Amino acid sequence: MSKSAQRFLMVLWILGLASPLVFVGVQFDDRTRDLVAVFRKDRLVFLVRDLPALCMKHAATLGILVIIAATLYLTARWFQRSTWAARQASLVSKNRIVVGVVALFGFTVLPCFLSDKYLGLAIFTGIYMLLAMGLNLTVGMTGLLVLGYAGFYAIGAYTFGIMYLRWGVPFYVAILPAMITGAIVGVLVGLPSIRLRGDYLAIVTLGFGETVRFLLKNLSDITDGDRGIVISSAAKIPRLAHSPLFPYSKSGEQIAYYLVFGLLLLSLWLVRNLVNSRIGRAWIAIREDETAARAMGINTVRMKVIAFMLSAIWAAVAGVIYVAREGYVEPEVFRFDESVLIVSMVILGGMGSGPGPILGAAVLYLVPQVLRDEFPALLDYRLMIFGVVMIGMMIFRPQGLLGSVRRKIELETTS
Amino acid sequence: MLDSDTLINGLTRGAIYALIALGYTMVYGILGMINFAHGEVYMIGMFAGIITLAVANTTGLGAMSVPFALFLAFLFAMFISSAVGFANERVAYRPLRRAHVLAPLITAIGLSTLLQNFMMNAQSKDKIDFPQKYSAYFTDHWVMFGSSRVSYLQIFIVVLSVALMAALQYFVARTKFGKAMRACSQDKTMAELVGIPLDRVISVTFIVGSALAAAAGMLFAMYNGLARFDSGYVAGIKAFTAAVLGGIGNIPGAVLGGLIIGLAEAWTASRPWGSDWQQVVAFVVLMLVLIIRPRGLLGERVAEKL
Amino acid sequence: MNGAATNGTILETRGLSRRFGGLKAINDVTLTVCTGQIFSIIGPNGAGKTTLFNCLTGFYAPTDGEIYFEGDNVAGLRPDRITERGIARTFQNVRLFGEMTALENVMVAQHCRTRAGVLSSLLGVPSAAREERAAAQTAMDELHFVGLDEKADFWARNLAYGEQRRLEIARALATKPKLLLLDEPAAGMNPAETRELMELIHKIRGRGITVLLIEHDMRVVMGISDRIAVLDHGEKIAEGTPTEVRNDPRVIEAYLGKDEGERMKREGGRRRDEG
Repeated sequence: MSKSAQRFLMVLWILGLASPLVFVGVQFDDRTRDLVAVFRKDRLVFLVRDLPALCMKHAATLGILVIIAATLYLTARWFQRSTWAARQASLVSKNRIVVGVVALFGFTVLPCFLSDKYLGLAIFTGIYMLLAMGLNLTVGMTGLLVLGYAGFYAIGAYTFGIMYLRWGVPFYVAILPAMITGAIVGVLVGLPSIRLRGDYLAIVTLGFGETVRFLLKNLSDITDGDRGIVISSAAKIPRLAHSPLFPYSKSGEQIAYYLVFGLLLLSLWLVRNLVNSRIGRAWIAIREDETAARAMGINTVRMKVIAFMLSAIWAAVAGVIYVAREGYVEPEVFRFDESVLIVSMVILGGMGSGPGPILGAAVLYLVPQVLRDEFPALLDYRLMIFGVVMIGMMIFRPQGLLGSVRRKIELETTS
Repeated sequence: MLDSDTLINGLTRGAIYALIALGYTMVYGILGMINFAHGEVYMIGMFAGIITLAVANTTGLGAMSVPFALFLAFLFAMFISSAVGFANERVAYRPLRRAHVLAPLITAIGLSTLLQNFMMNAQSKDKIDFPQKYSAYFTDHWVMFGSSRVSYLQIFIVVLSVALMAALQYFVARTKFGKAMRACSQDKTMAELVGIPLDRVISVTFIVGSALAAAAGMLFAMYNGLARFDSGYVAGIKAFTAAVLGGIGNIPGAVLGGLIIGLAEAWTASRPWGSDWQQVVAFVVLMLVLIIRPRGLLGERVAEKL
Repeated sequence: MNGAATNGTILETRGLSRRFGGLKAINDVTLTVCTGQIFSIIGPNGAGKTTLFNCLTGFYAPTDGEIYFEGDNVAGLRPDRITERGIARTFQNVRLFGEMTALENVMVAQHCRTRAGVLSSLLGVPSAAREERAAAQTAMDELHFVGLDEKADFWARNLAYGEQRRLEIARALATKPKLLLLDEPAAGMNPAETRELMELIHKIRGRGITVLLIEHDMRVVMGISDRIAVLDHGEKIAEGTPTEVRNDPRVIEAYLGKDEGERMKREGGRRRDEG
C-alpha cells in the first residue's frame, strides 16, 4: 500500500476512534439567536480524571457483583449438559439432584429475606427470564433472528388490557386467550417470514414489532392509545397481607414472585422436554444446515412456524404477567429497545443452550438495576452497554456464557 | 394522483433516501450483509455538520461567509462519517468475516444501539435545531413549477444528490478502483486471487457509502430543520427498504428504490389520514417486496449452490 | 399406485430435463433402475450428475420430464416429502450437523419416521419418551451397521473424514429409505477405506435397499455396479453393464477426448483396465 494511502487510513482510524470526543466535548447553546457551540471541558475532564477515580471508589461493589455473577455462571455451567446421552445420564446423577434441591429450596425461601425493592427486582428479572427463554426457541435453537419480540410481548399484555377494558376480567382469565392470540399471531408472522434469509427475516420481524407498537398507539378506540390502560387491583395479581414469614417486605408481592417462579420452573421443564424431542433436534438441524435438514425429511417450514408459535406464546404469557403485576400498560413499553435487550440476553447467555437465557436475563437486567443506586446515571447508558456486550460477545465468545466450545467453532467458521 | 407539490416533496425526500440507500446496497453487494449501523453513520454526519456550523457561529466564521461555513460543515460531516464507517467495519465486521452469517448482523445491531445511545447521552435526548441562518437562503427563495413552489433548498438537494450519485457512478463504472469494486461484488474469492486488495476495497466501500450518507444527513437536517439521535434509525429503515425494493446490491436499483419510497411517503403524507401512517409506509413496502418479489425491481435471482 | 413398480423397477426417469436460464444442465435423461440394483452414474465434471440427484431429491424441480418412484410421479415434490417416500441422499461435500454428536445426527434423520407432535414433545408424554428411546436405539443400530458405534458420543465435527462420510451414510439410512443416493461417497478416501466402502454398499444392498451412486473412482464403479449410466454435457450417452460401458467408444471420447476416441475405435476397442 502506498505511503500516502497508509497515512490517510491512519488519519481515518484516529478520527474515527476520536470522533466520540468531538460529540462529547461540544454541545449547543441556542439561547442566543444563533446556535453556538459550547465546549464542554468539564465532561472531558470527567472522563479523563473523575471516571477512573469513581470506578476505583466503587471497586468493592463491582467486585462483589463480579463474584455473584461468577457463582451464578459456574452453577449454571455445572448444570448444563449438551449431548443427548449426557442429558439422559444427568437425570440420575446424585450430585445434580442434591444441587438442584438446594437451589430450589434457596429460591423458594428467598422472598423471606428480600425487601420490597429487591422483591420487585426479582419478579421483574423472572419476567425477563421467561421472555429470554421464549426468544431462545427461535433465535437460539432454530437460528431465526427475531428482532421484534417486543411485539409478541405487547400482544399478550394488551390482550389482557383490552379484555379488562371491555369485560373487567382478572388476569388469570386472560392467560389462555393471550396464549391463543399469541400463537395465532406467531403463525401469521412466521408463515411469510420463514422463506426469507437471515437478515431479511430480522428486518421483517423488526417491522412487525414496530407495526404492533404503531397500531397500539393509533387504534385508540380499542387500545386507549398513548394513554395506556390502568388495571384495578381486583384484576391484578393479589397481594399478600402482611405475614411474619416475610418480615422485610410490606408490599405483599410474594404471590407474584411465586407465580413467576412457578412459571419459570414449568418453562424449564417444558424446554428441556423440547430439547430432547424430535422437534428440538429438528430445530438445531435447521439452524446448522437447513438444506441437509430438508434432505433428512424435516419439513422445515412447519418446524419454523412451530418455533415462532411457541416463542410467541411464551412472550404472551410474560406480557399478561407484566401487566398483572404493574397494573398499567402502554405502547411505549414495547419499543425496539426491549427487543434488543431480550436478544442481548439470549446472546449473552448462550444461544441454543437451555439455561443460558436465564443467566443472560439475570445479568443484563439485574446488574444495571443493582448498580443504579451507586451510579444513578447508568440507566441512561444501559443501551450503550448492551451494544458493547453484543459486539463483544460475537467477537470473543459467540457461543455465549453457557454455550459449548463446539458452538464457538461452528460460529467462528463458515460451514 | 400525484399533484406537483407531492411530486416535488417526494423527489426531494427520495433523493435523500437514495443517497443513504447506496451505502446499504454497496456493502451488501460486496459483503452480503446488511450494515444495520449505516443509519447511525448518517445521523453522526448530521450532528457533525451541525456542530461545525455551531462552531462557525462561535468563531464568527458564520457571520463572515455562510456558504463557506456550510461547505465546511458538509466536508466535516462527510469526513467524520467516513471515519466512523471505516472504524465500524474494522472493529465489528472484519473480525467476523468468516463467522456464521448471523454474527455480523448481531454486531451491527449492537453497533447501532451503541451509537444511538452514545449520541443521546453525548448530545441530547431531544432534537437539535438546525441553525436557520445557513439554510435561510435556500428556504427563503423559490421558483414556480406549475402551481407549486419549488424552494431553492429542494433544488439544491436534488442537484447535490444527483451530482454525488453521478460521481459515484463515474467512480464505479470508469475508474480502475471502481472496476475492482465491481469484481469484488461479483466474486470475492476470485477477485482476491487475481490480486485485488479485498480489504482495501471493502474499506473504501464503507468510506464512500458513509460519506454519501453524511451528505444525505446534512441535506435532511437542512430540509427538516432538526436532528435527533434516532434519526438514523428512522431513515435507515426507509433507505434499507429502498435498497431492497430496487434490488439489493444494485446501484441504480438503490436510486430507483429511494425515489419510489420518497414519492410513496409524500403521497401518504398528503392524504388526510396520512400524517400518522406515513411512518409505516416503509415497513409495509418492505414486507410486500420481501414476500412478493424478494430480489427487488432490478435485482437478480440468487440460487443456492447445492 | 399405477403399476410400474410391479415389474421390479424402483426408479424411472423419462425425458428429465433441467434448465438454468439458457444452460441445459440435464437434457432428456431417461433411465431405469431396478429394485435391488447398484446403479452408478458417471461422467466428466459438469456432466450434470449432481443436478440429476438434486432433481431426484426435490431440490430442483425439473423443467421437463417425469420421475417415477415406485410407480408414482414424484417430480417437483418437496425434499422432505421425497425423503418420506423413501429416497435418501448423501452430499458431495459432507453436510453433517456439527453441533450434534454422531448419535444425534442419526436420530435427527428419523424425523419423518417418528410422530411426536408439539404437545407431546412439550409435555414429554410416555409415548413421546418411548419414541425417543426407540429412535436412539435405531440410531445406535445404524451406527453399528457402518462401524461407528464407538463414536456415538463424539461431536460430528471431531470425526475423521472417512468416519464423517460413513456417518452421512448412517444418517441417510436412518430415514429408512428404499432408494439411497450416494454422491461421490469415495471422494478423498484411501484404498483401504475405499474397499470398506464397497463392502458397505454391498451390505446396504443386502438390506434390500437400492443404491444409486455418483462416483469418479473407477475401481468402485467397475467393482460394484450392476449397471452404469454415463452422462456428458447433461445428456445420457451410454448405459449398460460395466463391461459394455467400458468399451463404449462414446464414453471413451467423452472422458479422454475426441482424438483418443478415434484412436480407440481404430484399434478395435482393445482396452486396458484402468487402475
